[in-house]
Amino acid sequence: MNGLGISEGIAIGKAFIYKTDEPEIPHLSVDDVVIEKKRFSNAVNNLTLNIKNKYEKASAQGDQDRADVFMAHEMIVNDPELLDGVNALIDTEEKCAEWALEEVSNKFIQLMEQLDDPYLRQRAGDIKDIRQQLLKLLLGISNTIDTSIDDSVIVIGREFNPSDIALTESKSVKGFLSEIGAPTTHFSILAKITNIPTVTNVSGILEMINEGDMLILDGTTGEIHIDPTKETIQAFQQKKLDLKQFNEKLKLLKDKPSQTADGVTVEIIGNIAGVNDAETMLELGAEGVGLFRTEFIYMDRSKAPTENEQYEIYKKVLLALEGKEVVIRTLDVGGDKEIPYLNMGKEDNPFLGYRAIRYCLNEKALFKTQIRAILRASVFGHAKIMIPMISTVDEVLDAKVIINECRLELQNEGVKIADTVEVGIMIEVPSAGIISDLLAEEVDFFSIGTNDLIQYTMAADRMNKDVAYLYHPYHPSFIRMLKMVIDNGHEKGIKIAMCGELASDPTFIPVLIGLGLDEFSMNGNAILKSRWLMQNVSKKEAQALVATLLTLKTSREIKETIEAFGDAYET
Amino acid sequence: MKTIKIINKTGIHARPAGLLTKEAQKFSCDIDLIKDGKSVNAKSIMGILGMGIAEGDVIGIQANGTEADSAISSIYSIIEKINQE
Repeated sequence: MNGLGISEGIAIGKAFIYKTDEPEIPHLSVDDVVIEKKRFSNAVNNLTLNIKNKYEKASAQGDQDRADVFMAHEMIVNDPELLDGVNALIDTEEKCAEWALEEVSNKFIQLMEQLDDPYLRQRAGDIKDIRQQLLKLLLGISNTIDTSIDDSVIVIGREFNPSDIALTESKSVKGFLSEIGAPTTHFSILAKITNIPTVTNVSGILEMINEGDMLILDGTTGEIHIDPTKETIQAFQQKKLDLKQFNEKLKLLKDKPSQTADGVTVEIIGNIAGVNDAETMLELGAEGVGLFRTEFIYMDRSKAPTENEQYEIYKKVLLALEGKEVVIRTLDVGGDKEIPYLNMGKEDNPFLGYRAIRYCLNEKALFKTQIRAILRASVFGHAKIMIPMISTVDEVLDAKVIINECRLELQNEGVKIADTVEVGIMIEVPSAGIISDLLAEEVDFFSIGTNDLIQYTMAADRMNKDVAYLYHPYHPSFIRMLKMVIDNGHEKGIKIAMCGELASDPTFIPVLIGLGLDEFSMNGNAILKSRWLMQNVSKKEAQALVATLLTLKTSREIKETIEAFGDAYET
Repeated sequence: MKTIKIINKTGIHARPAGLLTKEAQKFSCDIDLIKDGKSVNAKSIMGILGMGIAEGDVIGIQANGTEADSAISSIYSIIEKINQE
């Protein structure tokens, strides 16, 4: 059976069914109302402490949005209407605390579910969450794993919440398996950071597995085996051991340069979306950050982040990278990335429409807020600014005028900024690739965004299955495009990076080395593996490979040639 | 009773409601918010959220007990601040 692997690694252990449903609420009369009220206030106090801890953790991590949620939760737990209401029901009707809590909270939930505002309607969910946590405390239902079942346990649930990652504090938890999930949920991100094998998207798994069943899951491939044979267990134990040894070998490369077999040095840098990612980068072996996707700072909120909020975030990221380069991409909104409060309107062709720098040059105040925040933070490390979706030289010049304006303003205000903050552009529109010789004279670096560049070069929507045969990096036009951009940049003496998914594609890395790419920017957990792969590739041979590719006419020939080259070095 | 019109586009959401409650809890007197003749305890975040205060609503602030007057003016200035966000 197969699911979606979310966090790599192999877990072997006994199934533990983790109940995420609401517990059954007892309806009992009580004799001693004083004891009952005390029981309730104990639960409230415990939960308050617990939430306060989470609040402090989130604020310490600079995650103000999450901290705000916890602050609201703390206020709900201690809401005078809730507390007085529950105590009154215990007093007058002698109901047990759980029953009283159910009645009082239902009143508020109903009230909120009737509201017109969809945002406020969702707050009913917050109250349900708090009620469930209080009920668990009252009923003595623990969220920890009973380690007496086995010393190796795989936790199975419908869907995991970010807080469930705390289950790994018990050493016996070896993996997670759920019916619902996605690589981008907070839980998934935490699972990856915690290095706990995790598989999701297995519908009906809760009906198929009984508590205590033997289970194997492979977070790399998404494979699941229920009640495996002895042979299968042995095979996976071996695989797990191999993986462990391989990972230990990779760890030795953490502080080593990224070098090809014939001693040519390149750089491997990371893609990040926020402060949390930044803090793991050096540990994962990154030589810097090649793409900080700042749109995540703008998402999931009701209005744009202020200059100070952004400044604090950039400062933390720059400090976390300890002076290594951090390429900050300015707001890349539009296309498939929607931010409701920006009111960008619906378009027939959003990918060909009003997005990224096209939008920012018109919304000058919004753009300036971001640039000012980056420049102010620049004293804390090695910041670079990268502008997405450039199609013309004029756009670059206009953006540079605004950046200079911000620099002068800050200088007049007496604010210190770094002497030089390099400005580069994304090459993701074919027109930019075609005039890359002209653009290279105006900027300090290029970064090739492969997802968009492929889709625009081939005029093939990457979400459309019917044209998927066109959406791949093997077409001669795309190989030529890469060569043109890299050669034009090098001619003008600037460095070329790539921050799309292709930069960490094991079979494509030799092609990029052969083309002369300088910097490979990728997700943190691909860095060490890519560094290891490169050690086996000689630049000379890679250049010969590229020379061959440039003579081929079809995607199929190109793909086969690249794969044949890969087979020779990958093992 | 003092009244104020809400001009914040998103009305009074979780965070502003939190700010308001926190301010109200600094006072020992009873403070009520009134909308369309219904009143809620200003110290209760659930009460305020449950009112569903939206842009254009006119809210009354009422207080009884010690420092009632300064309580009313503090709550008034917090809502003014929320309006400017």
